[in-house]
Amino acid sequence: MWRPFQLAFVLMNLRGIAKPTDPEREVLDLLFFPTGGGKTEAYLGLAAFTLALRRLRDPSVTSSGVSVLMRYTLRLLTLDQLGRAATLICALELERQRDVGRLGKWPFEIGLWVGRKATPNRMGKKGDNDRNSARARTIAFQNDSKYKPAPVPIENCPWCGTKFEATSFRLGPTTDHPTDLRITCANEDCAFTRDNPLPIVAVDEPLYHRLPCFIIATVDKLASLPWLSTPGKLFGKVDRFDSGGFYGPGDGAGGTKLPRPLLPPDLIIQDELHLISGPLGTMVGLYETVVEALCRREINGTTVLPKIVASTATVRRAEAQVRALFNRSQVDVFPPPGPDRRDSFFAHTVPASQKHPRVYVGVAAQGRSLKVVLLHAYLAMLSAAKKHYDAAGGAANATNPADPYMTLLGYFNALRELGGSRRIVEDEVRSRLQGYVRHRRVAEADCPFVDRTIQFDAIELTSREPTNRVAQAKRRLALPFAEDGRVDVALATNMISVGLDITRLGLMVVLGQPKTSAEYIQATSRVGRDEERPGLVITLLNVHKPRDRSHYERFEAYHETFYRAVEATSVTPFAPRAVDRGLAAVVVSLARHGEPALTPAARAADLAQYRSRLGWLKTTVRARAENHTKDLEPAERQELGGKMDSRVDDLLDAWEQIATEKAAVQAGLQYGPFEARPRPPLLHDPLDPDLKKEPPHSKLRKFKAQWSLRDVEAEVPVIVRRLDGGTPEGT
Amino acid sequence: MSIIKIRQSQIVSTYGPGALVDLPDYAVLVAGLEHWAGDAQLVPEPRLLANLRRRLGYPFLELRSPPVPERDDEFGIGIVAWQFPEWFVAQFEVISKEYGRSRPLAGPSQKRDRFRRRFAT
Repeated sequence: MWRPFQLAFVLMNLRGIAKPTDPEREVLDLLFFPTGGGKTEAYLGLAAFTLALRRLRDPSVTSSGVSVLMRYTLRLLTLDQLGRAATLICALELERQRDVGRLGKWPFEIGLWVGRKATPNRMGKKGDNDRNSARARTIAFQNDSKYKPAPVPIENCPWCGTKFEATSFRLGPTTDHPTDLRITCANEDCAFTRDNPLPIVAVDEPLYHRLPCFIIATVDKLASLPWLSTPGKLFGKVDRFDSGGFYGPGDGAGGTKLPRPLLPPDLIIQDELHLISGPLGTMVGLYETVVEALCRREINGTTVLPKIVASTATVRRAEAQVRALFNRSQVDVFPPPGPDRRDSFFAHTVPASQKHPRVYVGVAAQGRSLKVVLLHAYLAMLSAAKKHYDAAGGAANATNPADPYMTLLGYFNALRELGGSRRIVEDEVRSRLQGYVRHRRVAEADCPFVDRTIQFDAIELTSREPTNRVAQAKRRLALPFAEDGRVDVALATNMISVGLDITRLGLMVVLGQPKTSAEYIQATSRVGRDEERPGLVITLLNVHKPRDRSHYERFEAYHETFYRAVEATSVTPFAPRAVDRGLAAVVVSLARHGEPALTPAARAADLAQYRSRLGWLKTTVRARAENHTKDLEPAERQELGGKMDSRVDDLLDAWEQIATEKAAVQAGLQYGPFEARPRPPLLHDPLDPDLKKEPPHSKLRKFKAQWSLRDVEAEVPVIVRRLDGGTPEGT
Repeated sequence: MSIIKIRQSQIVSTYGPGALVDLPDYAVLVAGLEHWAGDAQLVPEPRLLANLRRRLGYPFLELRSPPVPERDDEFGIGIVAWQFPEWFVAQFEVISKEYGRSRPLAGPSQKRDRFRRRFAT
């Protein structure tokens, strides 16, 4: 069922989508709605319109290619959204199969473009010894579907909900040299069974070939732009096609020539905009220069850019952030703020006297360590919940009102704190709960507690857990307490602070005040999402820390207006250190994907030949730098622009010289070290040991590019030994 | 079993030799420098080094970073950590004539499902 604000949001954006030259195309629409309000459906509706419109206007092959690019920051979020978006694409695909004449022969598909921890990025082949390839993971799952993770992090058919089985994943055309991983539903009655596989492409290699119209990506994937030729294809940089997919200038022979190039994406959706801030946002802002340039096209002399919509529930200074990130000067917040902040027509704030609100309780204890406070808070909550659960009929009552409070969600600010608390939960909380009632006060007639036995293991929702275990944990959290697989205690870090949408959860214990108010609001909004069953958040504060103490003392005032305390975020893509770190990658990406002749791996050597065609590159970077903030004086703007010009020139000069030097010894030059036949690479990872061997003033040192947009630091393996010489057991 | 990794700066700060590192399935104690395996790169900080040598009175003092493998498939390089603790107190009580009421110890050889092995901090 649609909500009015979802319909309004879709309607409002139709003009910008349908008329590419309309000035509204350039406006960034920011969906600013409380968490749990149904934002995802709002932009999935918009995506469906965009996808269908592109096909209706041109049902031939030239309308295929990526049309909607949906981006997130965290893998947890991405998986959750994948399910809902996949259902939409399934529906569109069924419509298309019914009316091929109008919607075209090329299927509607959804692609998952995320890191290799979540999905295999390579298909793999027989004998390559790659345990992370799609082939190895599929075979492992087929042999042992009970304990091995599925090769793709989706557990159920998005169309009918049936759980995938070992036979659902098929490698094709041959198991030894697969080029594609097809997923079919095990349910015979589902529309996507047997010969009609689900329209999901989750492995990078087939994704670059098939170019699904709808792509879900993490922003980190942008980092692959300078290294590989294939990501450029997602922006329509292809010239040939056959029945299986598309070929770009970087691919080998094959396919027949396309009548005209594919269109770049029409719509970019950026979810949880507030997360693209700080160091990550700064790098994303720099790489966005490439995305913008690759998505740009001309219609009758007008420059057309994709429509961008974004969403968030907590943001401040959105305009400055959007300008730095996306180079868009106009931001329209939807719903627009009205004269009364409690009533924007689309959303009303209901007073606490009418509906149950989320209740926040602050707990602090003088002279006790926070761990003791944690122990007692967990004991009291777990035990009291059981008392009310039993009183309401226990497991026999299918609509037990105490059900949300039987699962305790613990929130921690650091993995280290979580680790220590996990021991407390699994040992002390567990053993004390079994005889908790013994400790009741003298002369206390009606004890608010009962004994309770909880499971041995607390489940974890953290970055140190593999994606499939996180997916499994999420599924278990949604189960009513009466069912097998229920969860007594779940421990989580800020991984859950966005996008965890489990209506059932009602109880959270936060250990220590989180560092930012935005995070606190986001994290605690994970509980009490069911309006009939309010949430309870217990924040444990350490009175011996001034910051926690201050929060404790102003607890009520702070919580009454905590949306006001949301911090302004900073995005500074053209700060000197950011430019040092990212500009080389941006310049190489622009040259490589912007000029088809330079796209193939070995063509890195030919810069001199095509440099005259790269005049636009300098203006692109310069314009972006000059517009990235409104706070610059005209003179400063001029200076920054000039600096960018000389940096870009310097990089291109250095690149040309490297190419000449390598050509003199007949070595050739390629972009990254692994893409093609071994030639000396132009780009190096900042941690690459080969780079350390270069002389201090080597030009190669200018070409550092990262594989991730986050901070990078060398990691040291830990070799675990035991005194008796054995190896530690573990999962 | 996946390879456990710690960031270089964390080894210098939080997880130096003797530190207890809590891993999802067990905990380890970071071993001393003599156990670390692989080539530890010199840190080029001549001024700091000169200062430290003078202040500490060790003329041959060197600054090195924790060893990092150069390639992904290079094994046996890194820092060594010992699993600790290996013995745990079980979560049930046994009553015997000899010792009265006690909780048995569970060592590395016991079955995992019977003895849930966790230690309390």
